[in-house]
Amino acid sequence: MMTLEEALQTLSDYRTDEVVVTTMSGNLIWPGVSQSDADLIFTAPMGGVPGTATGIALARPDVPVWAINGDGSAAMYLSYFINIPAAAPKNLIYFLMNNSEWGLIGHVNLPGAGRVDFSGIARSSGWDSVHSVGSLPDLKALLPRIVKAPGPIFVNLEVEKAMELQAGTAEYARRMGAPKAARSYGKSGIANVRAYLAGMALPAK
Amino acid sequence: MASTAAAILDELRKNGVKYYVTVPDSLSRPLFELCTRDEGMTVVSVCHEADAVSVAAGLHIGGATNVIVFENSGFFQAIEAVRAFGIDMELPMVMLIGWVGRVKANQSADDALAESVGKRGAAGTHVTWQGVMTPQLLDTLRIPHATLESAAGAPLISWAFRKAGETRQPVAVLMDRMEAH
Repeated sequence: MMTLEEALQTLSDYRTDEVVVTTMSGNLIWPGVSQSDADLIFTAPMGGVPGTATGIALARPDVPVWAINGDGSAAMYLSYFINIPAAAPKNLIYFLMNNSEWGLIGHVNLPGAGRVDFSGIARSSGWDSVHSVGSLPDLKALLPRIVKAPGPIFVNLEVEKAMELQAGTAEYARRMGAPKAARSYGKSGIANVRAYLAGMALPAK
Repeated sequence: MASTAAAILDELRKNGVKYYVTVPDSLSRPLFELCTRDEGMTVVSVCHEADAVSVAAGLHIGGATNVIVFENSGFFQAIEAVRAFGIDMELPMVMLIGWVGRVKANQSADDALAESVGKRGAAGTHVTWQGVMTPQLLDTLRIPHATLESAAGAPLISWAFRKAGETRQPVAVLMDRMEAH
């Protein structure tokens, strides 16, 4: 098993030119490990990350896009498991941080915690490329094989329960108040991603 | 004379719309059919109306002009996504909303509800409530809206895109059943 921090740090290490859309517990960790400004973070609407990432990927098929979602958010809108292979953005990878809990409210188990097979849901919903990893060595072995492969690709990452990142705590406030987090959040994140995309002009048809 | 659906599609083209993001509904079905056959339009059908708003937000961020199309009951489902992306994050969005249970122009909401008491199905109270609540909810959310009555009203689509762009807010066009041809 790996921690959420280790998993996100590893994704950041292998990231090159991807736009990243993320949320929830990841939004407190990702700004600290990300080396790029092409990040969009939001917590509302909860569950919307895969959809927004899909929209960006469809609009800009020349730019790789990663959705980094939590399992609580994924459970809220299981419909994306159907929507994404139907829309079929080839430049999208969906990483699911799966720890069977709602982390931001303080380690509360999700309904069906530990019994839900998100990879199985993805396979039965039409995803052709589905991966599940439970350790850092497995993640490090997988990433070089998939980052430039045609998508959409779904990766279920089994991670340990998040460290104490409960909303309302001093640590939560410190992380949310960090400059990189503020730059990546909501409207600011949208502006940054737009600026990044503008610098990567679409190839002429 | 062009059908309402054809007139709307023409307006969508004029406004540079390339993506039609939808949970298809019966009222907009003729438009859905036209857009599906239109070479310049990509139809993205999703399972839930909140999904439509999230996908549309991403398309907008990526620079692709789009329109969101769903029924009013679906708009109710999507309100949190509309609030977050449209109102909080100030992403302009145009929603074409099928107005099921529409209250007649010359009728008050109370009269419509009184008339519907005891009826069932399409004319029943629950449907009328759905219709009554639609403009009220839009008003509560401070979302500008207009009602497209026929092909002659299709320029409202351009009004909606202009308004959404100027205010960086969601704008809604309510639509009744449109003729198929």
